[in-house]
Amino acid sequence: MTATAIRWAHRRTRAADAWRQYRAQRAGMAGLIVLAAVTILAIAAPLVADADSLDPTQAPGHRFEPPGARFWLGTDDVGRSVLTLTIYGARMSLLVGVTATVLSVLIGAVVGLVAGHFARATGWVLMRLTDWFLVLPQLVLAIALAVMLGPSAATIIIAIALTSWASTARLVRSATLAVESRGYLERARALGGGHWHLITRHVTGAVAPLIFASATLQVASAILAEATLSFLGLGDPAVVSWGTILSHANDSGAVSYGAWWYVIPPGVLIVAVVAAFTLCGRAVEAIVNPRLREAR
Amino acid sequence: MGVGGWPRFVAVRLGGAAVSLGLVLISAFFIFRVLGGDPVSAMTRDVPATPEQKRQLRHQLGLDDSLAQQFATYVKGVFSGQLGQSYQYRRPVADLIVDRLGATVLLTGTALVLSAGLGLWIGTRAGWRSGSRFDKTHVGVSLALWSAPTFWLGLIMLVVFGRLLGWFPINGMRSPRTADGWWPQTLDIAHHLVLPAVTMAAVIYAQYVLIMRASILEQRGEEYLVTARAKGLTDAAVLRRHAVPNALLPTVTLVFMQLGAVVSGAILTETVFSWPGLGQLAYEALKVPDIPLLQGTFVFFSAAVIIANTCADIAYRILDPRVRTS
Amino acid sequence: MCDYVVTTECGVLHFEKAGVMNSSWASGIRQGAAAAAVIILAASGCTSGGDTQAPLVVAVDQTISDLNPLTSFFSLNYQVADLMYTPLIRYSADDFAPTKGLATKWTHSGDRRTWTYTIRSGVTWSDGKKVTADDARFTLRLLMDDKKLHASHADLVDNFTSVAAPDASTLVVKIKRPSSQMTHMDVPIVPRHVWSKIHNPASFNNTDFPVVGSGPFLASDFKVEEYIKFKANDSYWEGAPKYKSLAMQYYKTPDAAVQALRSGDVDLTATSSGLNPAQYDSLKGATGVTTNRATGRSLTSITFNVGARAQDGTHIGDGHPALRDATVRRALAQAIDKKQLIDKVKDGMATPGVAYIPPIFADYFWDPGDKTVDFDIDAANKLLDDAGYRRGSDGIRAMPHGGKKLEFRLLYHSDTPSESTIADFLKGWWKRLGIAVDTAGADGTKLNDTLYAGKFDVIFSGWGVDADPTGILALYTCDALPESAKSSERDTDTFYCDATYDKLFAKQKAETDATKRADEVKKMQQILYRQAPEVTLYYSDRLEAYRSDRWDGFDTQPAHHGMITAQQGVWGYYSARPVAHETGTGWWAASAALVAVVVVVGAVWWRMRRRAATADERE
Repeated sequence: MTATAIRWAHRRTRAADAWRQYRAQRAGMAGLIVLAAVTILAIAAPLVADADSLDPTQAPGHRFEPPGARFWLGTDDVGRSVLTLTIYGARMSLLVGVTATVLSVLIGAVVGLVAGHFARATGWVLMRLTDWFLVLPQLVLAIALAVMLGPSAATIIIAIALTSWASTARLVRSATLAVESRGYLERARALGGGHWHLITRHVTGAVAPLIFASATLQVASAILAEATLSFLGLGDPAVVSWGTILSHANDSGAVSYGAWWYVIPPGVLIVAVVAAFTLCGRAVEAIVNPRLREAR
Repeated sequence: MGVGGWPRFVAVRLGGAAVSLGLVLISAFFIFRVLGGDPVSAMTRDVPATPEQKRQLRHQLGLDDSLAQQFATYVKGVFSGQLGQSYQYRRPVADLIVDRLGATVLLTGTALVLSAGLGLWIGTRAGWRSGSRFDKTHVGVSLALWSAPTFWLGLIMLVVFGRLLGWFPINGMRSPRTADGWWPQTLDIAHHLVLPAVTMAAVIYAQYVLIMRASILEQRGEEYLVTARAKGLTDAAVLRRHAVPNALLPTVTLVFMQLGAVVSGAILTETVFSWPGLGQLAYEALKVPDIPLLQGTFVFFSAAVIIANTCADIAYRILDPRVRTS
Repeated sequence: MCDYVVTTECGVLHFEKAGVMNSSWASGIRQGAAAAAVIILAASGCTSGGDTQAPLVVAVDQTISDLNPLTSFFSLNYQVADLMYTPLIRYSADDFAPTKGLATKWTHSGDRRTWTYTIRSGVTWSDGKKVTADDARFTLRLLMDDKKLHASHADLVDNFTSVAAPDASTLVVKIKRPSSQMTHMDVPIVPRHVWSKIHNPASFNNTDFPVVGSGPFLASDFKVEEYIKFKANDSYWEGAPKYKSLAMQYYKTPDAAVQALRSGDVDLTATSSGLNPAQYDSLKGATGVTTNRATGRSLTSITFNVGARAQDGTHIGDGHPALRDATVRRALAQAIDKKQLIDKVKDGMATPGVAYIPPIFADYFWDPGDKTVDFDIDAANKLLDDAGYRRGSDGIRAMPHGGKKLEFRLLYHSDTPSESTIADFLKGWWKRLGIAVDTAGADGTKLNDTLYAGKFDVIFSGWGVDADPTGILALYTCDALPESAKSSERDTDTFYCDATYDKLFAKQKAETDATKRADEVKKMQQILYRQAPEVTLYYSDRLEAYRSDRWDGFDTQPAHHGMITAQQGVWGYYSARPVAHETGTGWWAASAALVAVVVVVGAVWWRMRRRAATADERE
């Protein structure tokens, strides 16, 4: 066997092992099932519901039709099916949530790795900055950024990413410090491995599971943040996401009208998906960090 | 702690806070002045202004100075309590903040007391009997509440208790026809406070339950509890006398660390219920957008959180002798 | 003291809505709370029994920063000014016709260049001083001479050559060119003995309470974005109002205003754009509430960038060249189903737009009759086909001879939710024309900046139209164009400029014969309709609601299907009359209920807690 093959075999067993541990956690599995269901629904949206009916000029129903045989979840203020809206909304909400998280984790991981690896002045400065971002009220900063950049989906992604990377950075830094203090890195360093080699080969591999766990938890906050910012009118209203649906419901007077069917479905899905991501994240965290397992 | 440890620790923390506050000023300047572009066209939107008038206004506001000079003027302004003039209210931002502060303190204060009381109590019980039905139900409920967007929860409360049942008013803090006098006014405010305070408390409470629960769980494994039990204390007494006090300290610290989330909660709750506080002020500012006002609320909220955080940190070290300065 | 029946009514008011819950638990609480309410009410003695003392509480939402009547900008400014100051000539409640105010008679010389107004005798300011022609002269001179005030009234006073008050009851105004505006002298007249002492009238807040005025109500307290309070003017020349005070209360969201009306905190909604259809529907059948659907005087439109340019001919901005072609604009207009828009966006509560002047002003409204352009996508497609706009492989049309693709930017106000919905509709229809649309929202400031910079293709617009159409028609004259590319006057709405239109505009402005003037105004609208620099989408109905269990007698404007608020004038507020019985103590019941609920829940909780604690000990 070549070295690569050995490495891959090793990884396979580790993955299988992790999966076995994950499966043992009921809450985590429940979260995973919910996520799988919503993701499939989002991907299969065009098969389940007609995208053309999202064009208000071709809306099939009347204003504010209550749930019934034709529209299971009723219609919105221009006669679109709330069910169709909610299904298509899943796409944007998940997309924004995941993209923002990836961006945020990328920033956090880079800052954390660099701060951990170059422990001296660079690290100190970076960590002060991280702490500052941690303390700052996220929503206030996100609002400020979003207002200044103008309302759009990209703005929301950037605002979320820029305000949420700090916790990842902290986590990655402490993990990096822990890994680097181990003997084999001393050896690698002694053998003349450069910064780049050390970071990519040894440190990244070791902290990746931690990053993954925290990222899963962060998707939950990112989806919440997307809904919140869209509700405040900072998203692109032409895009259908759970947040913009709720924002639209609020603007169109659905609350006064008592059109509960317009307000409840997107919110319930947000709760379900956010809770699911949280459960999954906690389950992954418990595997990566066994000390936590008993506590959960 | 060694001699001279305290002053040094406090000085370091205060220095850190000062740096953080400085960063807030720099970022506010960067976000609102550099990203924000020319405020003059926004200021003159309601009145016809010639280019000459605009140039003059720009000069008055010091916008034709270099960025570094502008920053210096800006910092000087902030320290003398001048945060600029709001476009929509045509009043100094600092005055507006002072006006609205009371309402926010009342709302967040009530919500914090409610959620801390309930959250810590439920968290303790859940942690002490982890795995019980009580634990599972409450962790489930907390998780669901934590996952719900604050504004959505507010909307639901509004529809159910304001619109359908009609039990509580849904707007603002006072009714225009309430009789004068201390007692009717107070009752009226209390009546208006119920829905927003409960909404806000619901979301924060969930965090406290989870934190307190984890903290108690950690304590439960400690050896001193075994000793205490061996002394013959009842389970309830062990919990009350030993586990809770020890678990409380880290929890309270975490509570202070999460003040940013409280600020977010205040903004959303005040927006949904039109509660006339700082959160609503921030929302009004972002709607227009009223840049000086937005900047003022940004600086104020950030500074408040940083200061509260620093105080909590220092208090924590004073209260808990086990912690050493690092 | 109120009797038992009224007390019960106060108590029950809030709990009738609680009828949704039927369990014995809920009814128990309800009874307990009602009982508590009775007790508290009995104890308090229900002091607010008098009816004319209770204020008329009006829900408003427009931010105004002062009460200066001469610097009015928002419609609420005008309302406040009209409440406190009587103008020379008012608009009648029946049909907007010029009607007597401080002036009882107005005549003009043969050349229509000298106008004489007879000032009503026996009118006094609220401080007891007499209102004379000199006050009117002073006010008009102020508008002519004060630099800042002049800017906001230039259209009127630039035409003045002299203003004189030869005696206490005569005002003589000489003008340069004949003008129809002279029969619409709606400028609020301010008291000279107060205003002559003000150093800078343009930045005067007018908040020295009690304000001295001549209208039916006088401001007594004001807090920006919280409330404006008025006291009835007992010496009002037309007779004191039938109630003592009026309070404008700010509600930041229309939903909140609606809820406040339901709960009885508010008596009348007067939000700037009225209720939206959902709110209006929800209030139908609510106890004690009457809804009012009135023909409105506001219009919602889209305007095209017909080729932004300055008066000196320099080109401005980056508008799409295809929109300079009237054929393209006509095709776009024909592909808008105004009826569906009204059904879906306004729930049927609007009138399809034609060309600016809404049908409420019957004299000036122009009905295209058989020339009406009906919604027809095929016909619109044919227009474009015939004009040589061919579809590309992607289905998007391009300008003739391999020109630019028809891809337009559509900009709407991000703070007007219905506009983003309409934008989605337009996008859907125009897509079927082979025209791509990129919609974007912007706040008012940015939107206007984009407009004046000519950096738009299609943009939303909306106006509240006055009984005198000159102001709104002026938007489409060449004079409205900026003088040069660098100047920043903000008059134009679309950069339209047409010599025939301008000629008609000048003519109607000078015309004092009402019929002839109406004719010219109609001809102008015909041009706009044909050239389509804008498309008027609809005229929204004005939707309002009030507590009919407390108030009635509101005079509407116009008399038939008219509005109570947002009038030109304050007939609605002035004519309101309190209804005999009084239920304004509802809050007592609510607060008492709260206390009762808290006490009951607390007691139950405490008992359960006790039981749980003992159980714990037992373990």
